[in-house]
Amino acid sequence: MSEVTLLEGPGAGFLASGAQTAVLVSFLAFAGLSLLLCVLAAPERDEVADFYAAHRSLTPFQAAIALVGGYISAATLLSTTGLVAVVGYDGLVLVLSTSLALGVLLILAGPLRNAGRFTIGDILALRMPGAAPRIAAAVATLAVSLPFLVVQLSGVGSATALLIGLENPGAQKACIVFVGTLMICYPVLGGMRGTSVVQILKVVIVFGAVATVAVLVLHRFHWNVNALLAAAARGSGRPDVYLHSGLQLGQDPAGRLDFFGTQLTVVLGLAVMPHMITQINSVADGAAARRASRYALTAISVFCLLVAIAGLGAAALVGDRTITAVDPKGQMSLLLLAGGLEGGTTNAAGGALFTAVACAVFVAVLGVVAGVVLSAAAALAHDVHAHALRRGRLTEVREIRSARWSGTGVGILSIVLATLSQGYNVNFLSSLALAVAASSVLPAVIYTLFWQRYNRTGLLWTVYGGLATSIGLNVFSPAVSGTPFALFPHNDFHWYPMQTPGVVSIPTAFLLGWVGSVVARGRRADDGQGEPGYAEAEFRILTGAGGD
Amino acid sequence: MSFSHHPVNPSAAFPSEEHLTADGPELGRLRRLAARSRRRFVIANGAVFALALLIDCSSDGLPAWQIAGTLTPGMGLGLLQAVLLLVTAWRYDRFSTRRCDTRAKFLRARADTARGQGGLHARGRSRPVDPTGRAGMTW
Repeated sequence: MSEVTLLEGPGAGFLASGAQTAVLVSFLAFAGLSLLLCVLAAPERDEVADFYAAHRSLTPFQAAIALVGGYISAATLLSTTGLVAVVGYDGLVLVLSTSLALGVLLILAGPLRNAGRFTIGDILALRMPGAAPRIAAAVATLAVSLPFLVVQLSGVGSATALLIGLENPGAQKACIVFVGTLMICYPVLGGMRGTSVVQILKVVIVFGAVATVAVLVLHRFHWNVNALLAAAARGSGRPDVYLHSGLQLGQDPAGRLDFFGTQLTVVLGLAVMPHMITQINSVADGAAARRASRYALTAISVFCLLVAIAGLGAAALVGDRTITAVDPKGQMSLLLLAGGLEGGTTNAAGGALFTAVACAVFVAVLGVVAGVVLSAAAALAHDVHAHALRRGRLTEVREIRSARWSGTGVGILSIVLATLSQGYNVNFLSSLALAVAASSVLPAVIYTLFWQRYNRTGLLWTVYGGLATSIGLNVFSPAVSGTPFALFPHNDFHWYPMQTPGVVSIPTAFLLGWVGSVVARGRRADDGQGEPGYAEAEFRILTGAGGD
Repeated sequence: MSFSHHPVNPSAAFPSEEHLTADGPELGRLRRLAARSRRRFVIANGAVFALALLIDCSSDGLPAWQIAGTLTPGMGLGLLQAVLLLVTAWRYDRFSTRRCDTRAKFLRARADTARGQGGLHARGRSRPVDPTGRAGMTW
């Protein structure tokens, strides 16, 4: 089996200058085209239903593609492929967990759409009206969105250095600002319609690029998966352990528990990311939301399979030594594979393939951050400004203006944080965002939808307790200090032994929700027949009646 | 001037208590069917997910067996999980479409009728109809 051809050279040297130009031109072409389509699809009038939810006009298929677009981030594309390439079996389990998360979304989609309107705050306020639940929802949304935005934008800076060869910090920061500005433009100008168009366009490009790589890898191995697995094990340099668990976080009990917590966090956190919930609201009713989730689940499963093949292909054809020399976590393995699969980037086919994959990486970042900015803007404008501060007495025109300013503000803050974080390892922010979603959004949403005795106190304990636990444990974890790959590798103040806080913070949040509800009920000497208004809320959750 | 305010407290909107009582048996059936389909999906996928993780996290070397070529029990379970997820998702959607959606539509239609008769339009609680028809547009 022939190995891939790589260009010699330091750092970003795996890309010929012609290919660098092609990557830049392709990305700029995508940026221009998507911005044009976004503006064309933008709402004609200032109506909140149009701005936040595209007037519920997306078909299940369109919404499914947009959901897939929101799901595929740079982390999915680069980190997951890298993990499969570097740690083999543990990476494959992560790929599977990514698709299982859509299973969680599938069972929640119908009730979420029936209960919700635009934001997570709308869902929580269905049973717990007032300012506090809406503010809690907005805080949770921002706590998920900001770290996610920063890590995505920061990834753009690193990718720029490796792809285009612009290794000086100024160029990387300029690239972050450019992509960040585009990220602000999509939701601010196009609202949900424009953002969905970008997501759909992105899915076509990313799917096409990754599918081409996977097909070429399989073709190299004469479509023999067993041969691919054996070659990947050999290429990893650890053939005896590559296809067995334990390479990522170790075989000791703490490592295994950490592995368990990571998978749990991915499965439960990805499903309730605020931008996914916002996207669910763009279809007509609960049935359409469920159908969209099923289509998305199928598409994501196929995508995860392609990513797994690409990761194994990278281990088999590029080899662990080359992959980890460029990036110890293997994040550039997909690009290394694409760069060498068709004879290197110096020939036309190889150059075209690399350009497509590199463009897909930028596009993946662009699409997902646009969706995240929209959901954060909606939380600030709709939950905090329109409902918590103005008690619903805000005109639609003003609310949309507020959403546009909020989106701009969140975007600028993310850009500033991402540029400041250059030179630091901020990859843990991705798992932090997932942990916060799994520990504060998911328990609150599940209790609100399905537990009749849940009340306002329980809700606030769930959201703030889950938030504090997940962030607190993360700060004192090895992801932040005490290890060579930590945010502060030269300091050591960690006492929590695991990389991901999910294994503690998720059960804690559920427990806090239960305890808070029981305590509040005891205080009010409730008659035990459930919280007031649950019957009406349940009617809406089951049927969608009373929504818009 | 239109306000973004919307009566999110359902008790302030509809359905009324009488309608809920009238719809009780049908609503109960819908509740049971929806819970049953969810439960089946969660149990099937959750059990295999838990089993796979348990095997992965065990230290007795079970995943080190090779059952066919390079395929280990862990990878076999992973494949089973993926197939199970797709099949159960399809069955969940089909069950919900056949058994739940029609009931939900029926109850929703009754509630909408009740709302119309209750004169909520006259009280200005509902949102205005979009004269351009864009609300129903599929693009």
